[in-house]
Amino acid sequence: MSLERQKKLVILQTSGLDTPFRLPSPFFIATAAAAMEMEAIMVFTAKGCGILKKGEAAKVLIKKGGKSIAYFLNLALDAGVKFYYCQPGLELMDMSADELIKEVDGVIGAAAFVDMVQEADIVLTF
Amino acid sequence: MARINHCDIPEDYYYNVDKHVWARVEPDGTVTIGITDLAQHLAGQIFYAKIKPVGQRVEQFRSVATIESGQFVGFVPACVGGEIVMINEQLRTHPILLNQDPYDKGWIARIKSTDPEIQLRHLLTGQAAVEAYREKMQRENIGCT
Repeated sequence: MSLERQKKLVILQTSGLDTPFRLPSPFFIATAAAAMEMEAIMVFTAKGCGILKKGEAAKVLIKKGGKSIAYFLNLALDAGVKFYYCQPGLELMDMSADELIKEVDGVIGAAAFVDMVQEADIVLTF
Repeated sequence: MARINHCDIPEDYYYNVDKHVWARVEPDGTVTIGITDLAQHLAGQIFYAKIKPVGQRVEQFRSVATIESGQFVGFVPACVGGEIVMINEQLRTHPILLNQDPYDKGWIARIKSTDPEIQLRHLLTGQAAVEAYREKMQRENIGCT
């Protein structure tokens, strides 16, 4: 048994499907962190919430002829990356929780997010 | 050596077909592990490989290494669990060996297990492995071309 604390990566995702070229990196980095046995968490807010809307990520390609955003999203999910969304961010996008993919782990607010990043070893924003 | 959809499959190795990893029993009883030809083809050119250090213990099918290519990043499940007694240091500077020679120069680690026979029972070898690969490649329409 290891007593070493598991390292934690948190990515705050504010960019969305209107800028697809920005999206592979955060998913790929989170996937890499999970593969390296870190706890990897992505928090989606504002336009980022749109990525989690059922069916939308599959419709958008990173570039013409390239892979879909869903490919990178699924890579992260398969690696065990946890997804949280921000409720006000969701409302900003005129979305409701039942429109999100079922793999989302839960909702998080500002206070819980601050708690989360205080414990994190790496925090990135995209 | 069997060959299906242009993928090499040494019949004397042991495999977990879905996890894309192999094991080879050495004369001293240790087990060498690595990724399959199909795995390296699906991943594309691998440019990063980080292997857990010698002395660390890994459980069967848990992470023994992390690899990354342009379109894939993920962990390599250990085909057999136990203590890592040797790692392929060459992969640190030449991860391309995983693509060029996945069954020999691209080996990842050598494991000393207390119960290799029991763990090997969870893997496929010989004709059973070849048939499982044939079915998988047909079902998923994948191969090494």
